[in-house]
Amino acid sequence: MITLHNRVALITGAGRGLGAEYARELARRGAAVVVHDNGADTMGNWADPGPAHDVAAEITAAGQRAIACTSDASTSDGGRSAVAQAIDTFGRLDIVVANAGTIYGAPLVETPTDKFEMHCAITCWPHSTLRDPHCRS
Amino acid sequence: MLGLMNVAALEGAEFGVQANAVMPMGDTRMAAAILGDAAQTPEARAFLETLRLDQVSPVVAYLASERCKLNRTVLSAFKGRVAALQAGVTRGWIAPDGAPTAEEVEMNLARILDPDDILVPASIFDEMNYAADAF
Repeated sequence: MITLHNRVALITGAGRGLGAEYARELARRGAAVVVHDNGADTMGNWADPGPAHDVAAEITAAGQRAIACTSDASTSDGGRSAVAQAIDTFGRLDIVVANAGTIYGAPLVETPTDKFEMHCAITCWPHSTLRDPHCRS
Repeated sequence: MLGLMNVAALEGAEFGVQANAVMPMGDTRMAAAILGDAAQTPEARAFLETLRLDQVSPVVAYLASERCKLNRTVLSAFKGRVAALQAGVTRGWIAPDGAPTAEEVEMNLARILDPDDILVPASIFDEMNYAADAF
């Protein structure tokens, strides 16, 4: 059996949908999970700490390890704080599932520049994770 | 995303980082957002409901595990089918005079695009060696 004992996973966009399912599956196999989601809608608007906390609570209620992180994945600071939270809470970070994304729901030429930039920032988020000095040791 | 995955794997190697990607489909808010109003028809609903999330998450669990030796690999996963996306380079066509004209490129597209004996390169050096065989 494939196990993830003693491993720590950070999953972005883990408050709902596929990301939440990844979090449950990795936790079920023994990983400690940082459920990262700022709770925005599919276009990246607003924020709601509820989904991340709900998934983390569901995992811990099942006897596995999880915490919620609701920082903004589209910013370097948000990425750094998620990494810091993983290391502060669980002592290490082994797995990043960069699942978070946005869908504006319009052709590219009709998508506002700020929405396009946010989409790029969220989907390219591993960049700031890999640059984190914690991840190089 | 593929370029970022490649760079993360190549530059992360010295730190023991492997980087892979998954192309999932599932019955999610995102899938509904892509389909827009069309997602609300009974046919679309019935189709989306066949895309279960627990048909994708095991693929991610495998990629996240130490048993996974894959690197820079893209797995497509939905409805219980797992497949690999591969970007390859063809044997290609070589300009007889060393430099092709635009017209020659157009004229030789069939050979340029011929997927027979395609190579999926691990790095640019792989591709250079592969192309060197053709000269």
